[in-house]
Amino acid sequence: MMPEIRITRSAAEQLDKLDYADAVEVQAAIEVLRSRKGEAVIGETIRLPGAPAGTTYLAMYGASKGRIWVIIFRPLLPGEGDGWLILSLLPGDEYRDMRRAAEVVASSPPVRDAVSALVAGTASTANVTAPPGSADTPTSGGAAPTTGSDVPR
Amino acid sequence: MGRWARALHELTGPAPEDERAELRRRVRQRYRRWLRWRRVLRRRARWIDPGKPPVSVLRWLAVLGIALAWWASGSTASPLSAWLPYAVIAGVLILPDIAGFAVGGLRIDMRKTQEEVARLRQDVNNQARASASIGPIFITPEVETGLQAYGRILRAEHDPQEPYHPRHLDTDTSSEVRS
Repeated sequence: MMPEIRITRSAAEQLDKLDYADAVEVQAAIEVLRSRKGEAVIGETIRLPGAPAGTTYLAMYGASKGRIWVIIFRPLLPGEGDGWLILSLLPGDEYRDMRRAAEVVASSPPVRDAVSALVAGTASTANVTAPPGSADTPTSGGAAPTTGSDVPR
Repeated sequence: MGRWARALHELTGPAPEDERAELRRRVRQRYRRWLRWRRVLRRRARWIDPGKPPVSVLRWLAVLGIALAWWASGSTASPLSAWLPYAVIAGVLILPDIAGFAVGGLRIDMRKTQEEVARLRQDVNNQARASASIGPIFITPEVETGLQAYGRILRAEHDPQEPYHPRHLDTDTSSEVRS
């Protein structure tokens, strides 16, 4: 039996906004998932907190004419069925930034704590300010905006 | 070994324990030599790239050899089995040099995609190395963008879901190979 593929509405809208060539490439990449079942991991694992318990977010590349699109997906949970859920599409540069963020979160305990707290919904903002000259522009509230305590961990 | 034992050893040759020790030493040496050789082989194998000489030259020579073999066997094209095995083997041999292929609306730019993904990976690794070497790490605009993108993914968990149906992939059978 072929694994089921589900897509979130926001990802479907993103897919509809792509131009034809990009959409074809992305959908060709998604079709690869049909041949994979269960826990067979075929993408890169995103090492950031917040994925539902027992699963991880994965990333898969689709490229066309110099543009790279990254498909973010995860295995369906036991209660959801057997297959995959497409969560989002990211341009290559945004995904690169996300990988960078994951590295920073992994290597910096204060940032990791702030992001974990945000994901858990115990804090609404985090202020991590760079000293003058250490970054292009000091930023505040740099962690991922989340919707609150109902975000699965 | 004591004085008396040494004297006995000189008279009677090496004791059985020494022979066993010597044997064990030789076995250990052989094992270490084998480990070294395996390490060298692995290091060499890592640098073998099917898309670069000498492997690419050998591949194309093999393709030429297959073509000559087909010609020598009478170059018959009428039954499928007379030429298909040659074509399949030659196709597999030139596969690393094919830049991409398309079947219907599904197009795969193999080489381009590989290069782009490799470049992206290199970029990410360089940035990760740079961030690891500067000691204290601060949130930069890039990291903030990355975290915002991740936030969108987390929010997407609460979106309504629907079964996925490809809309742009047609299923005609025309095929095209670009090299």
